[in-house]
Amino acid sequence: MTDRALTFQGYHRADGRVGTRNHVLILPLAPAVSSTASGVQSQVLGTVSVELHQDIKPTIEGFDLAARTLAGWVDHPNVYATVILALTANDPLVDALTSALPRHVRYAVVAFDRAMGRIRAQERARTLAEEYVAEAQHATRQSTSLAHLILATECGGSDACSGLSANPSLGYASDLVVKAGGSSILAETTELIGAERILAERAATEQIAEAVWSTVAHAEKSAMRMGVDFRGGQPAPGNIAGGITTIEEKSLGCVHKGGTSPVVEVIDYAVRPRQRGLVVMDTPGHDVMQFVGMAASGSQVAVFTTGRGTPTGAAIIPVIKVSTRTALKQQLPDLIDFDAGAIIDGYLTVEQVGRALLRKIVSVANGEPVVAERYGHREFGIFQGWGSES
Amino acid sequence: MREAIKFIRWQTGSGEIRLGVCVCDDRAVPVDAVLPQVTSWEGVLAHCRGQGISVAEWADQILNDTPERVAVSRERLIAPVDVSELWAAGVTYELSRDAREAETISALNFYRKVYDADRPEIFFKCPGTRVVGPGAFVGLRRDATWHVPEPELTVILDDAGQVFGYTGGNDMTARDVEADNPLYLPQAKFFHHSAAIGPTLVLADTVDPYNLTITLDIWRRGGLHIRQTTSTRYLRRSIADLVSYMGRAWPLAPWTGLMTGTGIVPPDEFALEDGDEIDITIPEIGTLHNRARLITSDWAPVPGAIPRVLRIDPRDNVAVALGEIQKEQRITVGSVNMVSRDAIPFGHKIALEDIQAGDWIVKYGEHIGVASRPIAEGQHVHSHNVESQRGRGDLLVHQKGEQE
Repeated sequence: MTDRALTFQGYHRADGRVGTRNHVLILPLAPAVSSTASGVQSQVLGTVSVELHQDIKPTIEGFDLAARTLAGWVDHPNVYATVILALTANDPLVDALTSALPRHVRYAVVAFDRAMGRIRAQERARTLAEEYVAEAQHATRQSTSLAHLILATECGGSDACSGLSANPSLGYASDLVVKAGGSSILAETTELIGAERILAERAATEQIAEAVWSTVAHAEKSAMRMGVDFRGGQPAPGNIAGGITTIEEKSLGCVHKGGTSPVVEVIDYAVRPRQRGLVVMDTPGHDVMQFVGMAASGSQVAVFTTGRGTPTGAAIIPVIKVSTRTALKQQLPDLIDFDAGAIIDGYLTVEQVGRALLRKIVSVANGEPVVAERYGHREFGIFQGWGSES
Repeated sequence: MREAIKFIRWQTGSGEIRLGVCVCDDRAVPVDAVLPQVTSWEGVLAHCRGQGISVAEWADQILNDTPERVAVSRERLIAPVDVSELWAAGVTYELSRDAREAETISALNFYRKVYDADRPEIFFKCPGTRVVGPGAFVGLRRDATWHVPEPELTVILDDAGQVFGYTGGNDMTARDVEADNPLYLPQAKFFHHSAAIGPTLVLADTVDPYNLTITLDIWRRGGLHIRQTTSTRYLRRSIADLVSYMGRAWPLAPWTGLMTGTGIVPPDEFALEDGDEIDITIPEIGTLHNRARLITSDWAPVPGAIPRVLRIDPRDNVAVALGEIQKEQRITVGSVNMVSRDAIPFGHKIALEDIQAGDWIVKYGEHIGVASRPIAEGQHVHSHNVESQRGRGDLLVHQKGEQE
């Protein structure tokens, strides 16, 4: 890897952050307006929309969390501007979301009641989206250091090779991003159970180590309160048959996707990191909710390692999917962007594949579409919290 | 300069190879329509020499005099000439010099020196039998991660070692292999389907080789991913100079090919992927189209392969089997040879050293548990002889929480 590769071509935003995409986002604030958002997206080339399947009312637990998550999407370096769709102009979510936004953020709210109906609302949203898309064309990519990159990491559908090929390769690439001054987010608190000691020992300060311990303990407790004991069946019989002996071993296989860098911060779901480096984010195990939360925190590229394959993507950030074995890539070529399987077959080392993965990350940051973008995967769901302690 | 005269070769439905003079991109006058039975360059040369005319003059004649035209579809094209040997020159463009120097960790200025030196970098690319034509796949090594196509004007020498014509060429390269150590150059350059030439051969005296535009287009999943252009104007060495250096070494074999070096280097973050489509276009010659494919070595299974075991971190006292290991089987971990004492299934762990009861089991460079009984080197390491420290350690988390 040469020094030239430690830069990427991105969109420089007013707040100093740098986008890897230049989306116009169509964001519905209620399930009932989701189809209108999809309608606008299909009418206006250059927009992306999501579908919201949750009712977000002040009475629900996690209302603030949801508002913060949505604000993180609207105020995102990959988003040039947003058309927000609401049922009513006085929906408390509109205020909770927009009051948190800095002045430079471009958005418009279209409310069905103000617009006088669904058809007029969609027409209004379409006009606004077209204007934003026209403006967005003027933004150009400029070279910038990887220090401006926040990488989101995730693993799902783990197999016996996850901890050997895809995750350590991602860890190596993550370390290279951190060395270049950038950041990497390690999420999925429930997969840290059993590996918190390793992370705590790598914590930059005593306070961060404490935060690692308490975050995992909190998720663990709330899980048990819900009647789910994550460790009861861990490692699962299938894991044991596959050669995983202990829960520490399983968690280590996952935690290595964060590399070996010191943990500089532990953040809540959908919070923007203040430090640069390896950051632990408290998220549930649900893939889509992880991506939505990490996107809300300002990450501009995600890497998803998988042993089983998944079509999952995110509307505003490219998700690079990495297979653990070459057979998976060959079996599901249109689901996988990058294969780490040559490590298992003995052709390449973790370091070689890690360097190659960094090249892929830079290429995707520069605009190369990932398969999830090509096939329009924009899954969406917001974490509603672990629940209050009783 | 007159209009370029181009030749193509194609394979008919019945498997015959025919040679023809291009009328336009997809139409040609078959040589055997004029010279019955002649389907080779040797036959054409013999005829023209017998007549005392140049191949270009003869080609002009038959273009004017022969009414027969055949349509040739792109899929039928093969390399326009069977080269005997393919050689290649390196670092003949400034851009190539800079890219090579940047990618190599300790180049000791090799590339700069060779760019300026009298003696050019010339290397043997591959035997002619290994060269592929338009439409064929080009290979990607499984043990490399950073392949690029190198689009190059390719010179074809005749049986007298004279420049006979030009074609397009793709000098496939594994950049990471070359960057790792210049001594790996042959492995970076020569592998299955690492050289493609075509689609046409343009006669030497009908084109100016120093004024050709070369465009590289790479398509990924149907979208244009890379487009770069250079011109042979920037070729630093003369073709005569390169050929004369080859001729110093030994008598040139008839129909030797020489790739003249690349003036196009894709951005550093670019690496060819399985399925990428590569178009190398020189307007006077046409577009050489190939698709990249991972080499799966299905032509010969690796004989008697030893199942691999992987030590993930140097501190580990266990390694993971990446194949089924039999009992009493000889295995190699890095540079260490050992013998398995148990059968080890795929994905399971084997002890790399004698481990005492109570010792930590180390994988990923971290503790994954404690040996519940002594484990000898080569034994299976699993739930029968390892205990989790987290089983009871769960309490630790809770205690930690309660202290706060």
